[in-house]
Amino acid sequence: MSSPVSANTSTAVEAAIDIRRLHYGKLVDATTGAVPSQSGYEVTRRSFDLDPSLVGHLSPARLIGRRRFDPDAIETSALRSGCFVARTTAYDATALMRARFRPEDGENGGARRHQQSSVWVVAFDDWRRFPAACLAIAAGHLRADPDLAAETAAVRLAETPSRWRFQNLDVDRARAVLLRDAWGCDMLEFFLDAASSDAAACLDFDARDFANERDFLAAAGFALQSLSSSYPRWRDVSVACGLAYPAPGVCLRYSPDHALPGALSDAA
Amino acid sequence: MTEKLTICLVGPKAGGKSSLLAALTECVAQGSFGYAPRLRPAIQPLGEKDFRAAEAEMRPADFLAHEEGDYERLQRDFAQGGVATDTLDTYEYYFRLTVNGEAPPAILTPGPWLLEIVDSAGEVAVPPNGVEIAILDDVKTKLARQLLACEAIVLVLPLVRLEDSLWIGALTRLIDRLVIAPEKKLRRLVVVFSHYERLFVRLGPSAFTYACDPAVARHVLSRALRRAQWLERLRALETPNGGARVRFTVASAYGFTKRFQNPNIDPHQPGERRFRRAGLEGARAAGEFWRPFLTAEPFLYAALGMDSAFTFSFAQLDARAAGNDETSIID
Ligand SMILES: Nc1nc2c(ncn2[C@@H]2O[C@H](COP(=O)(O)OP(=O)(O)O)[C@@H](O)[C@H]2O)c(=O)[nH]1
Ligand SMILES: [Mg+2]
Repeated sequence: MSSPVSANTSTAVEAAIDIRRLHYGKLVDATTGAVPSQSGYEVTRRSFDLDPSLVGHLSPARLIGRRRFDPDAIETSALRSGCFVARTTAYDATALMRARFRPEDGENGGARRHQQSSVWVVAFDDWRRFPAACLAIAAGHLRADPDLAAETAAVRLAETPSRWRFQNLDVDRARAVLLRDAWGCDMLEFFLDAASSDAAACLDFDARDFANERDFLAAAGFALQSLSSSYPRWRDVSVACGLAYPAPGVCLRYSPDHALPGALSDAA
Repeated sequence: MTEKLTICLVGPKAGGKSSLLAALTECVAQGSFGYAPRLRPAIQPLGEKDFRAAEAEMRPADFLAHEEGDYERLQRDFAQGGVATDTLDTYEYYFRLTVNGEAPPAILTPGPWLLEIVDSAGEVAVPPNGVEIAILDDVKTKLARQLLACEAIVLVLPLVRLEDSLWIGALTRLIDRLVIAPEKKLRRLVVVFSHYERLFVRLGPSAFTYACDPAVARHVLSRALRRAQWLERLRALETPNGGARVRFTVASAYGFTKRFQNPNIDPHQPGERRFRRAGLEGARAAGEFWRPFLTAEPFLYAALGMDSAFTFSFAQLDARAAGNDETSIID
């Protein structure tokens, strides 16, 4: 599988990353989207060469840095598609996750909800070199869709990693784009401030800053791409969307709910 | 004197464990149980910190100054249709139980009791065959440890899917392991058949009257025991070596509606939901009609070892089975 990521610049170079997958949730019926009574929680899809010792680090609760993952972790406007988190975990792996709760009787149902998460794993070094591409690919393709009960376990649990090719964006180019806008300067300043401490930090954006998650992730991609590989807190960098609290580390967060009229009057 | 007890909830997935727990405090508050009203039990959810402090007899200044905790969130999830407990961990909830009224002298230290109730996904205790669940290995170990260390187990079985062969094998093995475990602390095991209100859906507003009759519950339980022969293995727990007492009961987290008395399942909603006032959201909408039924029984028995009109021993159900089989009024 391959897909071009738009970065139409003359200085771009061809690059590629491998993405491994782990899906946790319940299998569903292809036509109704409902969970058949015999299916329960399980790992429903996994790349065949995903390091087994890594798997425990990819649970949604761990990735969002909380004791448990529950519907309260997701902002109201992100309930349907799920929250998004990207951060580096153990074993030099970076995880990009989309996770949500969906009704057991199908997308528009009213029954009990179950957790459904899709995690992509990329090498930390790829994340550090190509953050803009990682985020752009995730923005377009990482969905917390359940796998189908009709597909055999042999296929689902032995997937080959997918390779994505793209035109990479160089640091100077990213920096030039970044410094054009206020959000870019804010992000850069945020990372510079965070460099000299080891505390957790979060910079929030909402729907007044970016119309949608994809625009935010593109912006975050520019900001991360403009960090040099020697940035001291690269392993702490996290990006979150629709998550009700900051992800651990040095976090850029998009929380669309904050710009809703209700949220403003609540704060008052 | 404060007494601390751990209670583990186990049973097949979607059996109603989390809902039973979510309905516990409301059931106690509404007195919708089979204990004498003069017992006047009260139960209060605690945060883990308050629980630990109370355990160490360092009573925090104010139990009431308490932000929304895990239990309140569980209740809110239940009001919104429920969330299937995930297999990524086991989840502990904490309570302080008191009996404020007259209690039969037989049972009691005066309390209060500090309860730690462990909820977990059915897939952890009763794993489905042949499914790879890699994230889960240490969770299985954690639950096994909790099962050996707990004083009471509440086994939740859905009355409506008793012959579901997918989980009988795994549950039988769980019981066998419990029976032979040498170092367990287990003193009480309660089997609760959930979704009890469903048996009465055709009885409309008389439903509640029938449900309130302990003789009906006893009849239902005798029949359920005959359908689920594998539960006979629990008798081994009651031998002198087994060291625990076993009780059977029924419960409904959805319950019967206030005022109208019919089973609280709204036929006009997608999924299976409780009646709610249109236009209202969340807990308030469901609260108007919600009266859970007997969801306190398993926990109060587990904590106090005290029988209610709706808890039955093997001996009581055996006696019933030996008598004439009256014509069934339900099913
Ligand atoms: N009709 C009815 N449904 C119930 C009752 N309690 C739980 N349920 C439903 O049964 C399903 C499983 O409940 P849950 O508490 O999540 O089961 P668990 O997996 O054992 O924790 C959910 O869809 C609940 O809404 C009840 O008393 N009556
Ligand atoms: Mg549950």
